[in-house]
Amino acid sequence: MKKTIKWLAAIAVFLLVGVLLFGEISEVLRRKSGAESDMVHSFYEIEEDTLDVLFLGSSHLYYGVQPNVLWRDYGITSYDMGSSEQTAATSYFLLKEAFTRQKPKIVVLESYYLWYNGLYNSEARLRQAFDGMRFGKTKLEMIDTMLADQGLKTKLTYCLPFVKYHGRWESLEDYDFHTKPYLKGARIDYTVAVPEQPELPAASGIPEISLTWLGKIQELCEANGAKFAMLAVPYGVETDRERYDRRQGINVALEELLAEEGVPFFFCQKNEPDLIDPATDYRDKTHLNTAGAEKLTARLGAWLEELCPLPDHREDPAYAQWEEDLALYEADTAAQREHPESTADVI
Amino acid sequence: MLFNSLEFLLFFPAVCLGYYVIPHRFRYLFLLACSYFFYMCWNPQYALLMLTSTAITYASGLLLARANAIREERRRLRARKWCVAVSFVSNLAILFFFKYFQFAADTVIRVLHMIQIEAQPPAFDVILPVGISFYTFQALSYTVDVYRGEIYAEKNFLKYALFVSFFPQLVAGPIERSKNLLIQINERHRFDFARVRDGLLLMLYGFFQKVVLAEYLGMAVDGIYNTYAERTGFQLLVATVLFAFQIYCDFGSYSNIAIGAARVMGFRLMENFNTPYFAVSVSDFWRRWHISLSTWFRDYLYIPLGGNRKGRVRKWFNLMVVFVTSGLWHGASWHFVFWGFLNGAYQVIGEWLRPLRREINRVFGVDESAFSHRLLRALLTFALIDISWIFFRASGGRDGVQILLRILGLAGTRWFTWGDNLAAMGLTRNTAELLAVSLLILFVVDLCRYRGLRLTEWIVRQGLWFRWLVYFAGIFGILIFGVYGPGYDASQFIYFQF
Repeated sequence: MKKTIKWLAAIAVFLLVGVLLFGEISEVLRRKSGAESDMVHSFYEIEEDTLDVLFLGSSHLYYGVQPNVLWRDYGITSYDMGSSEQTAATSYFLLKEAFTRQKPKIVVLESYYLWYNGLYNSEARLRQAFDGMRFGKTKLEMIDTMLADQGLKTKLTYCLPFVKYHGRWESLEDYDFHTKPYLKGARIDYTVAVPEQPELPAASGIPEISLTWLGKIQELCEANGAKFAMLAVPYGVETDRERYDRRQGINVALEELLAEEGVPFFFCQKNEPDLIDPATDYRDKTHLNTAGAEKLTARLGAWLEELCPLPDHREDPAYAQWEEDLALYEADTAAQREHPESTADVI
Repeated sequence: MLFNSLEFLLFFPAVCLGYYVIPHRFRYLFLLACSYFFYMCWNPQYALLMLTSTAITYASGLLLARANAIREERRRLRARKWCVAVSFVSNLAILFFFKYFQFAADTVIRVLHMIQIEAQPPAFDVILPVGISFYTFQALSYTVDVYRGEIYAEKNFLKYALFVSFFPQLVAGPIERSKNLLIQINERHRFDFARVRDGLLLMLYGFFQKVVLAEYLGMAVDGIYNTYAERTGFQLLVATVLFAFQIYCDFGSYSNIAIGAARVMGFRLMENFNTPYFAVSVSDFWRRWHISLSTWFRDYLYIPLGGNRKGRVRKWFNLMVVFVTSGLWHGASWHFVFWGFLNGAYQVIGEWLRPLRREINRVFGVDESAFSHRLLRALLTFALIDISWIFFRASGGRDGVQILLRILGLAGTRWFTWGDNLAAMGLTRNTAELLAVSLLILFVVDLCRYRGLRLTEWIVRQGLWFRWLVYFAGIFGILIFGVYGPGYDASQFIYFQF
């Protein structure tokens, strides 16, 4: 009997050590969305119930909004729950997960990817949004909804990203060991490109699926006592004018729709056309660089404060971490300003 | 359900748990149900075929027992022979129909074509039942063993059915003998920590052989062999050497996992591979390679043919019959037959030349027990075996000849070019280094075994920290470096469009 207990104890400890090791190794091998930003996953680094504002959206968001600037200028705590080509359905599940840890007063959805007529664009984009999410009820619900047509084995790889990424041992980078949660989901990039920025087009149709999920996001915010707002980060013509008009037209349509529903909408290219300088503030034809992001975010802070009274936490010792994170952000941006480095191929 | 699949990783612990929880008298029923489930995961209908083979050989055993009770000797002998004949003919007929019918029909059509007679091949679209060659041979061995009085005739059909279908060794061996496995079904197996640990360690090593070594070696070999016409002799030579290790790891891994899995549940399966590339002659190689099949052919074909009891020429003939049949057992194609022929021929020629070799050794005063001599013999044996593997791996005899000519520099093409030979094999520098380290581990493990050092015993004698370090290194080495799952393509994640 004594021997059996010894064996059982040995097996239990072995399994425990194994699980812990597995967790650590999985974390190193997991592909980080947005490289060192480790988007979505770095959200868990923020102390529970300390966020004032949560941003959702695609690359337009994480290049265009810098949470550290909101802290520096207004003492507002915020996080970019961004991921490449984030659809409205994806935003919904990310928001649902965010509500399990935070009670933001305002939720802001960036509007660009509403143009996409589908649940998600590609496997890689879905993984970029959800691999960083901890396993739990929301993840299972997301798998059930987004991957309803997939087999059990495929679904399992979303629960256990290790199965997908164990082959990354060959291509590990420095950021796999040292992520930068202090970026709060945003990216830093000071490269400069000059896009064409034509007049705003006429309104175009918003895909039904985006409207459906937009409605669900609104309901979710309401259920969690958060104010819902939307944001359109400026962008220029990337490939052709027709495509630009179609996508930008969605913002024009959205403005009217949201006005009817009483949802605040910061349509930068319309409301503040001179805020962003196309000659200096873009990293490519469709994304702001960090110089542009700082301008936009500074303006956003004032807009957010108009929507809802947000406390200034800068003097609160409980928020000291935010000040430390800001210092790291400032050091990074200073270095980047000196030697701009494009993040184009590391998303 | 493959061993290196998620299904097996769930299936096996569940079976083990059930096996130890269920009372002893019901365990064989549980294992039988699990074994049929395991088999039916491939193709449920083919379980009926296995059941048919099982029923025939089971009946042959009972009938042999009854025949043994016949008092009149002539009648008894005749009845006994009839039992064996019916069992063999019916089982081999099933095997022939499912595995060799198309091959035989194609061969006949080809021969007819050579004598200007055109015929249409029959429409025959049947998938080869998984493991049919293995379980058919295993079941047939039972008939012969009962015939020879080496085992009792099993009365319990379900226990016998478990012997034929025992899932760890069902689809890729070892091909067990009733006198070893069948009697173990009645044993009462208790959970023994040390035995379970040893079994799991063997399985772990098997997984390493399969998902790390065999998979990467397979990538390298496929990269060269699938486009051999564009490859240099050097690349083909390297690929051929690597294939020797690929097939060893592939086949050896299944045996190790099978033996380990059975050991976890308390069953002792026969050893199947014993450091084959340390062999110092081709016949020595065949005593170390796929032992369960080699001994099957020895016991149930070579010896009944007369073995070495009827003179040298007859012995050589018997050897050739055994190896050509072995080639055919491995695959229904002429290049497998040629592979078997080559291995038989090596041994016949080797034996024929033995007096000459001894004379040369005597004249030059060669110490046959010296390391250098044994090493040379091992290298020569490896070279001969590896040449035969060319015909095993190539998709046809002609391809095999072409590959061999290129390796020997007789194809009129360049034998070596400077360039990225690694990339040609589909390997990166990292994977090549991983492969080198893994092959070194394989070599060290085999060397220890060859030297009689039991590595598992040595590991379990070490301190806790060292043992656990080895276990975790093994587990995570396989998990990280193994080839499995959906695969990761970094280019998918590059942001091409917005």
